[in-house]
Formats: sequence, C-alpha cells, structure tokens
Amino acid sequence: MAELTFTPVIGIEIHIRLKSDSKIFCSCSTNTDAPANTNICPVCMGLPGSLPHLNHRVVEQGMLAGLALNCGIRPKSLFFRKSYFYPDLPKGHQISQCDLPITTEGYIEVHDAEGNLKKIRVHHLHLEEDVGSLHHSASDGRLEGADTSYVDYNRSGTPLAEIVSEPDVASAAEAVEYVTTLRRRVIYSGASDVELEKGMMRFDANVSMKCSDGRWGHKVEVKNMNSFKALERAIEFEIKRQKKIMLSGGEVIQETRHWNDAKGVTTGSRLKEFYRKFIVEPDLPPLFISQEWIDRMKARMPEMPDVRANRYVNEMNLPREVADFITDDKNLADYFESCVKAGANPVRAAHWVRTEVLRVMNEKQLKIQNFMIKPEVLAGLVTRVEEGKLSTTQGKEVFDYMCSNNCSVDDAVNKLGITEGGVAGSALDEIIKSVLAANPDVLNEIKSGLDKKGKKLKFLQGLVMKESKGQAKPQEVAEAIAQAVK
Amino acid sequence: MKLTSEQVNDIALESRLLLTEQELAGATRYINNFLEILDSFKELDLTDVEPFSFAEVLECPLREDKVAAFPDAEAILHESEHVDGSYFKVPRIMEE
Repeated sequence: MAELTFTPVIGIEIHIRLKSDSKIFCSCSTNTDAPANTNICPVCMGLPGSLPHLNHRVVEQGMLAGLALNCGIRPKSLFFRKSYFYPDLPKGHQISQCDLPITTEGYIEVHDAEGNLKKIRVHHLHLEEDVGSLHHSASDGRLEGADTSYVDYNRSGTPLAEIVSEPDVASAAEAVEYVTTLRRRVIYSGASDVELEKGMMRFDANVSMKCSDGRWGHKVEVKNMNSFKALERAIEFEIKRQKKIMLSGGEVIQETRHWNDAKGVTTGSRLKEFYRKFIVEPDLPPLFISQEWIDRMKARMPEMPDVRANRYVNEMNLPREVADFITDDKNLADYFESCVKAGANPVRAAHWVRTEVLRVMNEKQLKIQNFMIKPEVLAGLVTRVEEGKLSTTQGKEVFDYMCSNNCSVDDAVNKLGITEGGVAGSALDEIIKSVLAANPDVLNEIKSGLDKKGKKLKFLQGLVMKESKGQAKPQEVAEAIAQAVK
Repeated sequence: MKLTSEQVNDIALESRLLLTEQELAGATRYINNFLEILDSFKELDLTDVEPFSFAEVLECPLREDKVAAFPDAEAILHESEHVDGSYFKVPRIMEE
C-alpha cells in the first residue's frame, strides 16, 4: 500500500493597526499607552445617541495598505454591525466592512518548498475598529482561572485593517514569508508602522489537511499568535496534530483552538461561540471613492521592498541576502540609495552600511534618519577607500572619528595625521632604511640564510608598518624589504 | 424560517437579558411574525435588485484626523458601578 501523504491547506487572517492620530470613528487619541480609560468618549464607548464619524486618513491608510498587497480599490464600500457580545466592545457590535470591503483581491509572492515563486492570493482587506484590552487577574497571566477581568477601552475604536488570504499557504515557512513580506510592504506604504512588540499585527490561521487517499480534514481556526515565531510554531504543531489524527483514522473536529506559546501547543478554546450576524451600519452611509482619489493614492505608493531588493540584485549586483537585509528597513534602504546616487560603488556602500553604519547605530541607539554621517559624505569616504587613497583600516578610523566628532572626511584625515595615498616611494624607502639600520642582527640573520621560515622578514615588515602608522600598503612593504635585504 | 424559543433564549442570554417564560414566548412570537413577513418577499424575483440599505443616496461624511479629547472621560468611567481604579471591572470572562 502506498504511503499516505498530507498537504496542509492554510489561510491566514491578519489584523494590522493602521497609523492615525485619532480613532476610526471618533476624535479620541489612538495612544494606547495612556493611563487606562482616558482616551474614551461616548462614541467609542457606544453610549446611546452617539454617532460614528469616519476618519478620512484611516480610509487613505486602508487604500495604501490594500495597494501594497496588489489589491484594487472598490469605488463603493459599506460598513456593517457585526453582532458581538463581549465586554471588550461595549456597543454589543463591532463596526466592520466585513461584507463589502474597501479593496478587491490582491496577492503576495512567496517561495514554495522548491524555491519557486508562488502567489498567495489576498481575498480582501477591510477596515474595522479594534476592541478594548482585557486584563486578567490570574497572577501568572493565564486566561483561565482568573476571577475578574479588567477592561481598558483606550484601544476600543482604534483603526484596524483585516487582511484575509485565500487558503493558498502550504507550510509554516510559506506562512512566515507571507506575513513577513506583507508586513514590509505595508510599512513601506506608510499605512502602518506594524510594530510587532506593540501588538500592531495579530494573526489567526485556518489550518486543514488534505490526505492523498481523498480525505479532507475539517478546518481548525488557530488564534492567539502575535509573533512570526508563534505563527510558525502554531502551524507546525497543528499540522502534526491533524496528521496524527488522520493517520489513526480519526476525524479532525472543526473548532477554534488557542495557541499556548509557553507550552508550545494548541488547545481547544473554552470560549463560547457567539452569534455573529451582520446588519448594515445605519449610521454610516456607503463610502464612495473616486478614481481621482485612487490615482492620488497610487501616486503616493513607493517602490515596494521586494521589487527594490530585486533591483539591487539585478542592477547593482548586490548579493540577495544583502539586498533583502537593506530593503527590510525603508529608511536604511533610502540612506543606501542616496549613498549610491552620490557616487559610491553599490557593493562597497552596502557593505559599509551593513557593517559600520549599523554598528554605530546600535552602539549609539540611533535611527538611520538621525545618523550623524550623511549618505553623500559616506559616499565620499567609500570612494576614497575604493580608489586606494585610504586603506580599509584607515577608512574605518576616519569613519569612527567622524561619528565621534561630527566632522568632514578631510577634517578627520587631517586630525588623524593620515597621508592620503599612503606612505610609498622614497618615504617608504627612508623608513625601511632606518628600520634595517636599527636591527643589524636581524638583517645579518636573513642575509646568512638562517631565516628559513621568513619569520624575521615578517618581523621587519611589522616594524615598517608600525613606523608608517599603518599607511603603507602591506604588499609594497613586503616587496621593498625583500629588495632591500638582498 | 422560524426561530425556536431556545434560539431566542440563547440570543437573549448573549445580550445579557433574562426573559421570563411569558416574555420569551412573546419575543419568539414577535420575531417569528416578522420573519414570516420577510419570508413573503421570497415570492418576488429580486435577481437584479440591489440590496436596499439607505433611503437616500448619501455619502459617508469624513472627518479630518485630528485628536480632540473628550472633556470628561472620567464621568464615563463612573457611569459604571463596577470600577476598580481606572479600570472597568467585569466578571470572569473565560469559561472553565
């Protein structure tokens, strides 16, 4: 009997906090770090008589995020009330575009197991409001066993984009690449900063398994993942769990399961299932978006990070990993490109950015936007090293000096007493002469053929390099000394 | 389509409403009468009719993204009897 094989079928739902100063339907601040329940008003608390008023910028952020996922923008979308009885949303319903979203279909490209590009289709992106945050009183932070829940509504009504994929994802690795690429694209679009540590991106995964014998397991919704690692581990766990059930002839139950990151398992949810019916939100007429508005948003879209990385590989000959690394942060990539535009060799500039610039950024806890050496200035330094006017070591010394003293390349070179172009010709001959004169014993040893391993010769080279303050080229020094001791 | 009194009771419980038997029977009858009216629409051919949501053609009004803090957030907090510090307090929300 042929061995049974299983194909995971995975769809991913992502919630991303969109960037805005005020909430989606009221003028309360979106600052969720403020003291609990200070950014609340009758609208986001759902008090009788209050009316939602849609935030113009949130609509634009939704459009930008959608465009970043290759989605089209619908000329007409609509808000609904999604029945929701839970204390983190006091209205009893969530306002969401679930049924007639602002975008049409889109896609994100990832690599499959064979390394080929494949499209993960995005079903749509829609706008909705976030819910409040619940804090549980169990001392260890567990959800179970808590006696009381405390509610902070500062987050209630902050704007979200929900992004729903088609079930095109076939592995945990594809899922991670999908969410990573999606995140980078959304950040580039300016729609959100998507800071994971601030909970600005949350994932749910729908996982089911298709067996080679024709059986198709039920769909299981896995919730509670808020990091890429958690998403990867939760999917891997769920694939194994479902495969085991199906191999033993059992049936996977359709249910919602929660990922327990500490234990590394998914567990059946003990949450009650809600009635989640929709009605049209009567307080929000349809949202009409003109073609002119869409065109304006399209014009605001920057080159996407993966497209940019491909350009770096194809046009600038950067290794793929370096291109991916630099384009991961839009500001870093902007810095690198300014450096190249100012004349630096792209491969060398990328190396400097990735090593020296990042080192100092980390040491001094700086953002690239505030980096003390402007990209055009770095380009000058990189070019001088490339042209051999400064050795790599000297270049790094100059770079460090510039970082500490906020000065130009010329100033740093002068202050450090570096001779551009290095010590060579007659100046180098003078140094060698004086070193040989000061070490007659060593010279005799070499001349009498006792220095079989060339150690004494190396010793002299070292002395000459030291005398030249590292400004002589090692190769030239070696040749000149070999000549002088003949 | 008809709802059973159990279904109506489930919805009532989710809305935190405790109905007496009499109220439940009344609510079930009321809802089912309404559903019956809606059922009668099935006789119509609505293939090319767009779903009706608003009586007038209105555009969703938009506002500028400007923060204006509500002057008395604390008053909202104290609308509730169940407050601890600056938090609203609710009974345990997770099922054991």
